[in-house]
Amino acid sequence: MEKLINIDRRIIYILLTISVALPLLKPMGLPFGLSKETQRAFDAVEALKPGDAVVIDFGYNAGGAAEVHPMAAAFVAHCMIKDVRVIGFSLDPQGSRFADLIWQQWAEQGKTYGEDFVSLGYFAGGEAALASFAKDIPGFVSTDYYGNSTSGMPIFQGIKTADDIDLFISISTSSILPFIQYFHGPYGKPVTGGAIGTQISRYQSYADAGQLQGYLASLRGAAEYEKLLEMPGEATSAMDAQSAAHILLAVLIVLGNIGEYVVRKTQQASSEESERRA
Amino acid sequence: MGNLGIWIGAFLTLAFWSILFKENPVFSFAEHLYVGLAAGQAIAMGWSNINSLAVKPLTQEGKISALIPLVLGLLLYTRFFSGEIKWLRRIPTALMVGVGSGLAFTRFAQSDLVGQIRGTMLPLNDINNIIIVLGALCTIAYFFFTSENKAVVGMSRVGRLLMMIAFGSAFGNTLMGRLSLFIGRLKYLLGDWLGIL
Repeated sequence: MEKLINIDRRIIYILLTISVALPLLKPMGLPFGLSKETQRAFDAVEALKPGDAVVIDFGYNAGGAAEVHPMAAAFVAHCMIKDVRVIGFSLDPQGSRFADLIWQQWAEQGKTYGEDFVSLGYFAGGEAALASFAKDIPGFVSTDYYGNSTSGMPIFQGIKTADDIDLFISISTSSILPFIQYFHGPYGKPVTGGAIGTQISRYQSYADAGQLQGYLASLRGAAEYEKLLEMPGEATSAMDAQSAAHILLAVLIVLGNIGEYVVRKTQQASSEESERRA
Repeated sequence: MGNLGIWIGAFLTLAFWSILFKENPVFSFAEHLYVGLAAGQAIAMGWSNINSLAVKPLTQEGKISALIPLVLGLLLYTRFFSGEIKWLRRIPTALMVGVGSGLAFTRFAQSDLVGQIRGTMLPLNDINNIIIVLGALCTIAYFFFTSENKAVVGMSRVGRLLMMIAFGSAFGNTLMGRLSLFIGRLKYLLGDWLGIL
């Protein structure tokens, strides 16, 4: 039993790699359900009308892109299908480069830059930048990510402050709370988004309080959104691997606990025996 | 160039993973490279921000007001000078702390304090609402330290149990997130690099 609680960590790494690699090479199509929060996030975008305006923060970098980039792609796809205007920026210096990958794809499908979507690049200053952006959008963004002047771009028609935006979406590896604090709190605008697994637990109370219109939880949330969109993509293809790895980890946790319990009981019995002899 | 980029990405991924086997020079090389690149990128981004937010507006658009952040930014570096001008760094520091805390406090009070308390004031006509209200009260009771009270102690035990459940959920989510990153890298290696996906 002691072997069970002292498995060489390298064996665990190898098992984990195999459990992830095999389903990627031979997909099994394991089923996965829908969470209430993903459905709420989907419904928030679904409720938009053609011509409405959405602001999306691509607040992530290379370190977290594998987890959240598919969410951004799914949200933008939904907005584009609904003919919603999408204004993108990033609170992370690398975010706009990832956004570019999505914009290119939609430009190839006939969507027009400056009319259907726009990339405003990185906003330095964090929360102070959000506060200024909310008060005066045309005044805050005089040029886009590529250095073009934003004045006269059709996408900004009728947009002056955060009040003129219909939905705010924050996809972030740091925090989506600033969107609640700067757009939902003072302006009462709906906010939704997606975040990495390590942060998800803290957002449930905001969703329960109605401050967040649902959220996407990690790659799993993105896969659920792709399922609702009926557009299986990057996240859906990773779900088999995720499920297999979770099964392996659950088995290892159970085995480790059984081993720990048995070893502790054996040690207890032997110490009682030695006390009795003494 | 595209292929070279993929090969470099694959090499660095494997170099970072090699620490899982044991400490080795390839990992150290990748680690130093990463730190150097991150520092280089931070400097480039910093200069890009100063350029676009202050230097360009001042030199190309003639905005004299752009001098204010430039001067305040330069004042931060007076800390490296000894003598009478060192105190000047306090001016931009005070401004940053004042603006930051002012912004954060008002928004925090509105969204986190009032919004969250309002979110807990629920009608007790639903099992979920009852759990939320009682759970919030029990968890707050855990942080009640002023006097020992049997009722509060009982509630705080329940609060501790609920927090442990929340931590377990957070751990599960963390595991899910880390696995997502691992899957992303493995897809890169098997797909983009080896081309077998």
